Amino acid sequence: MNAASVDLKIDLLASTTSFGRFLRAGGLKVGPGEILSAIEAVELVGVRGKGEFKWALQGTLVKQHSDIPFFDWAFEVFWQHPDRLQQTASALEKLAAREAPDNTHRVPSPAPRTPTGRSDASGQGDQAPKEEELSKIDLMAAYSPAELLRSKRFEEYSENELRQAAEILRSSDWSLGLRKTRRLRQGHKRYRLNLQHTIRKNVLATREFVKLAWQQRKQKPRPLVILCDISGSMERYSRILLHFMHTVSRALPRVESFTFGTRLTRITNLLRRGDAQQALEIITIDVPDWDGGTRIGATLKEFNFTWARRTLGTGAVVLVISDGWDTGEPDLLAAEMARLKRSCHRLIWLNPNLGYETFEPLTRGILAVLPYIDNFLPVHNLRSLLDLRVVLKAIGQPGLPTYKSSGDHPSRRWLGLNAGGIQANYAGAP
Amino acid sequence: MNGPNSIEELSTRLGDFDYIADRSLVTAIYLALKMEKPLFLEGEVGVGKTEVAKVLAKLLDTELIRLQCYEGLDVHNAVFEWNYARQIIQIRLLEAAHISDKEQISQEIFGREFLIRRPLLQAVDYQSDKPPVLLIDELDRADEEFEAFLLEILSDFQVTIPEIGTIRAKQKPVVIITSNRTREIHDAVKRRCLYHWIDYPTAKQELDIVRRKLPHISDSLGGQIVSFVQTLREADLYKAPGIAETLDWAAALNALGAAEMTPEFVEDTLGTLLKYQDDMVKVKGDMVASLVERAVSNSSGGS
Repeated sequence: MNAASVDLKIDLLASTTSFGRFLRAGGLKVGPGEILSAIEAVELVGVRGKGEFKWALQGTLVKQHSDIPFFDWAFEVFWQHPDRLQQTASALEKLAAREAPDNTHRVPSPAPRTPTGRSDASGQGDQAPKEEELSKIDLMAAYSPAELLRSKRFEEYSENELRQAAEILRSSDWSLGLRKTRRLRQGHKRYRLNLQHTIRKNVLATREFVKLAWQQRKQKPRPLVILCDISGSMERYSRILLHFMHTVSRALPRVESFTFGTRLTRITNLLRRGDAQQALEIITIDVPDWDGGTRIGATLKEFNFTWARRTLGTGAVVLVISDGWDTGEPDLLAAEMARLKRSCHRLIWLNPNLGYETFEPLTRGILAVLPYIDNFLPVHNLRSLLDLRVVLKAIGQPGLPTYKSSGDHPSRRWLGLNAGGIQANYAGAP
Repeated sequence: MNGPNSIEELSTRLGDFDYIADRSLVTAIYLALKMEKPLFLEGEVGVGKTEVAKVLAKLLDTELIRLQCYEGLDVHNAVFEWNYARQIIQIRLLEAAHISDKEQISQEIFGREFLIRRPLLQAVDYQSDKPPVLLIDELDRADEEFEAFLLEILSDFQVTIPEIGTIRAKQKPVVIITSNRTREIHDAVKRRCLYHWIDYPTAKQELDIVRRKLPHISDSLGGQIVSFVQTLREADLYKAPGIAETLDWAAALNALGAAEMTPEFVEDTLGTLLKYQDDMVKVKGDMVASLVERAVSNSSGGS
């Protein structure tokens, strides 16, 4: 090993340690043990590729799923410059030389001058809690203003907050309940014997067949169909909801998206574009009845007649996003909701007005659809959208409450569902 | 191949087998035969997609090999499977003969004679001098994974069995794939095929079809039936009736001894035409009466 590589190695160790402290300042529980194993892991994989290097660090330094988004961000900020190793090494030196904590730093700063530099790697929690707290807030503020944004109503958003909320949606995990298909794969669950493999394995068996090979049923994510109301009364929500649809379209494998007002428009292909802002601009131009009136029944009919057979075939989940202000015939709306309910696996209705404590589902439109929906959920702030993830993920699993199954007073049923079941499950997620 | 040499000839010969197709479909079939490419047929339910393959098999005087697709259809049911029972017996026989060399046993039991040929392999490994017609029916019912198996067959007309090797078709089978479009089929499959969308027939074609398939129905009743169905298709129905429904309905009216169409006969037999309760409720009563009136006046005035 030549001198240069020894130097590099020292640099690497120093910067890994420093990165660990950086993460700790952001609230991750990174102790000396984690840092040691991170160094070991980094040595094992080397720094040939950014991917392996990142996985090595993530595997050793992150212990909670909810910390991954922060880790991703911290990794990008910390290692973004090619000369990062050099910089961190010198930064560390300075850090060691200077005992006083530096409270003026902002992230992203070129070097991670964290106030934890005051103590050594093992000294966790023995410094003034205020400073630790302060730096954590600083870091979190740069990382995501999620906490502040989550409970703010969408209609009160500024441009900037809308952008941030869209970013939080994008960085969240989205998954949809699985469906058992009729297709089989090798597995340990004893659904059916795999005779071909059994015979192959036992060609030499002298007496009875002993090693049995099994197949089990394959699981697949369900398709998701989103029908989003963009009429006048929903105008305040339509932009963040389009961001939501854009995010989900890209995060889940089979998503079909439609907007409706006076007529139905399929926007699946527009949402497949990589750049959300660009996609949204095109949609705003393309969708003819942006902020017009609502004829929910007629548009659902259009969906049922032209799209249902093509999109709802294999146990689809349907998400209708609307405040239920329908100017059409309630009978038509009820009939088409009934048809929609019969054609899909689960029908979820998201209503922004459910966010109001005083809201009573009494409009004709809502009363017409209530008998047919499985979940009636609010969609008025970021938290409600993030909570939706829990419902989507739990679809198909036992224990997911449905609107009909809870026996509360009609106007409280949805609250009970939201405050009890979902929030309880949700606690601890980012 | 004693296939047709022109589009006109094909059209006539399809007609000989009572299949009335419009020019665009005949052209698509002709091209599929000449270019030796699979023909991918999409269209509403009951417009005669499957019938194309059946008629082609008769026309070319060859065997029709049919693969009905369903969810979970896999290589063992579509391409080949080993005959496990025979393999086990063979292993026992070899044991009795004191043969215990693993290689030898493997070679013995994974030979061609232990293979069960499913439709796709049958079509590729077809021994007669005339290539068969392979019908892959309702491909949209199979899951996406299955389409991958098809790719090798559709582009190279060959099947690869790990234990035996690649079996190549001596003559390319005539392949017809149908889909009711309950989902979109992957581009990779479509790219290897000629594509054709079969529409509902015109009144003239439909009348022609009814006359050919049910020659004992009177011309006036046939005309009324076609006029009724054609108007009904324009109504706002969840599921419009296809040609198959028209023929069923005509047969039903004939069986009831109807010489002329009346609202009563129509109401009694509506189940052969409409398959959704909502549609039935909508059509029964006034709509049937006005449609019958219109059909009767149309066919008497028109002919």
